[in-house]
Amino acid sequence: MIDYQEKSEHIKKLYERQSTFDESIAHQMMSSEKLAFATSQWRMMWRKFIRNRIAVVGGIVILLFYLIALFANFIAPYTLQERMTKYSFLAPQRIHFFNEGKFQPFVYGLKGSRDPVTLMRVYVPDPEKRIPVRFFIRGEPYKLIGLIPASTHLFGVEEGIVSLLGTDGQGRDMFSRIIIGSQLSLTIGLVGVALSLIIGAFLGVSSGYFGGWVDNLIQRMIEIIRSFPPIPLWMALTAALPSHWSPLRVYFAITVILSLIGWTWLARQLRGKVLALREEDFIMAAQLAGASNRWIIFRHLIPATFSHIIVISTLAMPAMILAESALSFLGLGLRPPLTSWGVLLQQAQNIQVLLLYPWLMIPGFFVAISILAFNFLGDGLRDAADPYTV
Amino acid sequence: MDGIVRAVDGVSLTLKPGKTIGLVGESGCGKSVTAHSVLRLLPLKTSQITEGEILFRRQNDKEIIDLVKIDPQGKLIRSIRGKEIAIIFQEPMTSLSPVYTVGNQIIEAIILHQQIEYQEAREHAIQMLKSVGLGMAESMIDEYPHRLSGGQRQRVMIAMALSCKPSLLIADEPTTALDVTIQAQIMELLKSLQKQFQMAVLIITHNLGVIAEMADEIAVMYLGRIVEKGLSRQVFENPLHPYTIGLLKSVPIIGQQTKKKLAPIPGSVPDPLAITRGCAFRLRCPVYKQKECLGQENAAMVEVEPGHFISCLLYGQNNGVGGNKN
Amino acid sequence: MISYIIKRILGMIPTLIIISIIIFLIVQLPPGDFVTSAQAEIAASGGGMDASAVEAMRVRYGLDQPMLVQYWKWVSGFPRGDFGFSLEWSAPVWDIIAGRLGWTFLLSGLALVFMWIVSIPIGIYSARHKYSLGDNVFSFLGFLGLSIPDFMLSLIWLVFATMVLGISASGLYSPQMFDAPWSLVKFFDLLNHLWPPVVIMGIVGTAELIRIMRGNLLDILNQQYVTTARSKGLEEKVVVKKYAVRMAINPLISVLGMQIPKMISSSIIVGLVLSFPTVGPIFLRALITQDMYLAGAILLLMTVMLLIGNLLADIALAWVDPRIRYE
Repeated sequence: MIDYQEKSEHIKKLYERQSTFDESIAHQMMSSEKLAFATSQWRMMWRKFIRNRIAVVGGIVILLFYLIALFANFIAPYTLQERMTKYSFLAPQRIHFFNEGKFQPFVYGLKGSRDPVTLMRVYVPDPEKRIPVRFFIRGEPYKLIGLIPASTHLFGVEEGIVSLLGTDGQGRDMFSRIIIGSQLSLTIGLVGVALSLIIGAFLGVSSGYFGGWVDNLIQRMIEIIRSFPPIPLWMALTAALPSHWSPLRVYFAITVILSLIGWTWLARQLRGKVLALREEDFIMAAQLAGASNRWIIFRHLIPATFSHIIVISTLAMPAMILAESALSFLGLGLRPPLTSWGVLLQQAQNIQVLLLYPWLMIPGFFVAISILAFNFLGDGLRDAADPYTV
Repeated sequence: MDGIVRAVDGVSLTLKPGKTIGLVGESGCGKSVTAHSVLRLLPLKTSQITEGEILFRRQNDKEIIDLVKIDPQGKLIRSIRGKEIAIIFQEPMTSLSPVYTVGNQIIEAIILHQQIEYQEAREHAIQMLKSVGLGMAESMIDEYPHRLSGGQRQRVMIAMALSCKPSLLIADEPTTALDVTIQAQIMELLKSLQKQFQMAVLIITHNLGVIAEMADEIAVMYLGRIVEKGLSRQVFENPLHPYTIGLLKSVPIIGQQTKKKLAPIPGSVPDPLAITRGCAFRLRCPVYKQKECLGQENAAMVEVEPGHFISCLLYGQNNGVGGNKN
Repeated sequence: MISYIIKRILGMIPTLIIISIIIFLIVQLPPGDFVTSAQAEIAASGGGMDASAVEAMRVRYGLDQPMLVQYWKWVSGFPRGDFGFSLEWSAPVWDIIAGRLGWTFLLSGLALVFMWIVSIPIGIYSARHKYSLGDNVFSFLGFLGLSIPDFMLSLIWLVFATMVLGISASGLYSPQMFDAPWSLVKFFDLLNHLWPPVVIMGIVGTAELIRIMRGNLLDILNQQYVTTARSKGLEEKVVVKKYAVRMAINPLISVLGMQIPKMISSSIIVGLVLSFPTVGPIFLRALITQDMYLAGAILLLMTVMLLIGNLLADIALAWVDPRIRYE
């Protein structure tokens, strides 16, 4: 017992002297701990995101859609206006890939016949006639990305027609129109979200940071705007657009109208985040160090909310795409010759026509898929944006 | 980083009626896990008791059962919870559901374990509230928790826990979230109730002052192991484990005239996932000796004086570990 | 509690006033004198109107007078139930839309009930069996439901019901039941036509509610008071129901309230596609023909419906959560 007491006195003195702490042992810190300390925030987010396979799939789909939209005119076998009236209301054609054992894609030619029920002239596939599908074929001229004139299409046929998703009442190829239409459907979302973000970020951050009457005023504004049912409000606003406006003006007007309500959600989200951050010590430290409000907002708050901004922007896209599609479907959005998925769906409004030719609905599936992909992506980003929780 | 954390690895305690054991240690050392595991309150999907036993003597028939072996969701454990073993938690602000009145939650506990009518249970609840020092019991019983202060809520928790006269009370950091003056009141309350009901009390805290006030015996934990245990007097007057010494040394003594610097324990608690074999404290120990302390199995509990045990590789040989909880 | 309700109602009044002003401005948006442009539009789409009706409109709306007076003339009719006059229909607005508002209200309400009934059990199941197969399946279905636009779902249903199932999918009744007298059969026919739009409208909200319920419940199950309840010896079933779910319901009521605007919007679109007598078709037609007073009145009434819905949701929340009552 005696030498235990001696030992404990010895240890007490060691604590007091503090010189005996051997740093090298502590530095035997497990390599995994070190890795956790050294990894930057962005890398942690990336790693967490990658593990979420569904979100990654969503991201890839979105990327694919935008790439296709970029090269739409090339990928589509026909241009927007190309009419093959003799082939109107054609059902989607199958591409057969193997012609007698060899890899040579082809479609069946079409021969005219009379539908026994409606007594109308229809075209049915003719197995005797096989029309090869050529790649990089010369077709109608177009402007790639609106600038570079070209006339080579990814695929096409020299005679007859290759219509993967059928044709509409005027003999226009749905596949081509859907692909080219994606340009507008997908970009309206981008522009709309960008506009909403600018307004929403400014007002939301101010509202959250300054509090007081600024906050009250902005919150009231948001409340009032959100008191309207969104789609009827958009309908009323777009219907008020003069009919003689050029399609391009209409396009921009519509994005503005969509943003006028869209910003409220973004502002609310950012306000919440800023309110939470405002209480953090690093903000108080900056204030105590004498930083101006502008400095704090731009230099501290906005970078801290950056990942959140990306998440809510991604999650706001589906609503924009949906709104534009719905409005155009009703005839109140984009006007021909501007074509988006919603405009394409206008033809589906006529129920009798739709029942006869259900493939006219297909643009709606594209809308759904892009919304789905954005939702997956946004959800995955939201989980990844907080890499510190499991 | 994913992996299996051995939150508690080598804890052996014996609790006696009318006596208090204090379990001391820093945050994350496994004391709460120990407390929760007695009543099998640990989440089933993410935790598991892999070995050991928790022996408990029941109230009516004095039968001894092993709490580890019974179904964590079964009738038996439920008849013990709240009735024979009760637990109060650290955060009084979140321990009560905000959508039911205080009375509703206390009476629920009473009716669950005793075959009495609602009115009688309500009377009993009011009595309990009075006995924990809440004067306006008749009106308070119909209040919602968010209308009460932290100290009042903790008293309500105590009333609820003791309403069925348990033989063991586990108090998991009962005063940590309270103001200092309220802390003293709650400690007095617990002490008097313990005397009244002759309960065994396991009090868990990182506050050495609370331990000194309340505990007859002390066990010091570090990273899931008990490193030293003994009677209060023994541990306070004659600490032997380097960690215990460091803990006691780090407490500043008010009123002492000295120009010396404070003496904290250097370093910080390491990630429990990353601990390899050998003594977990070695990274911060002032008498660390590589040969003995690294790479060995953990030390056994060695009795250095009657009732005073220590587990340190520098103090004894490696033998088996013994002891159980009653 | 009562004081809370009164406060909320009083707070609604300035909102209502501002909304009426905004709608009035929207009504004024199309260029030109309303009457002449309306005349042109109506003529173009094949209708016609008589001179005395036109004159009555001029007086009713005070079209030759300053803005403020026009606004007052428009708004002052509301308390009397006079929401204006429609040139195209040659009838008072209220007569045209009253019944249809009822259907909009009914569909929206039923959709909300549907959401509530479906999402809570599924949310609870998903939270308690986190990451199980069932959870993942529901999660995926939820995403699908969130993503397919309601007009698309309506179209799909229309095509599917007619072509595959061979049943009547649009309108309130099957064609043969249209003129039939009221009977049990007719009632069931009505129900059969009622549930598709309710489900379609409800699916979006259901998906959201399930996710929120699941998330909330997962958070709550980790809360201290749940552990306390368990430590008292309560059965797991009771702990989940009495303590966890009860708390999780609170935010759900707010979320449900937030679905109301979407439901009203959705009823317009689904009503259009499925030929339901909601205000949708009338609203659309009014917009196309620039019958702006009609459109404005409809928009105003829809907004009022929304505000009332929000009020009810707030009251429900206060009733359920004692913390809010006392604020």
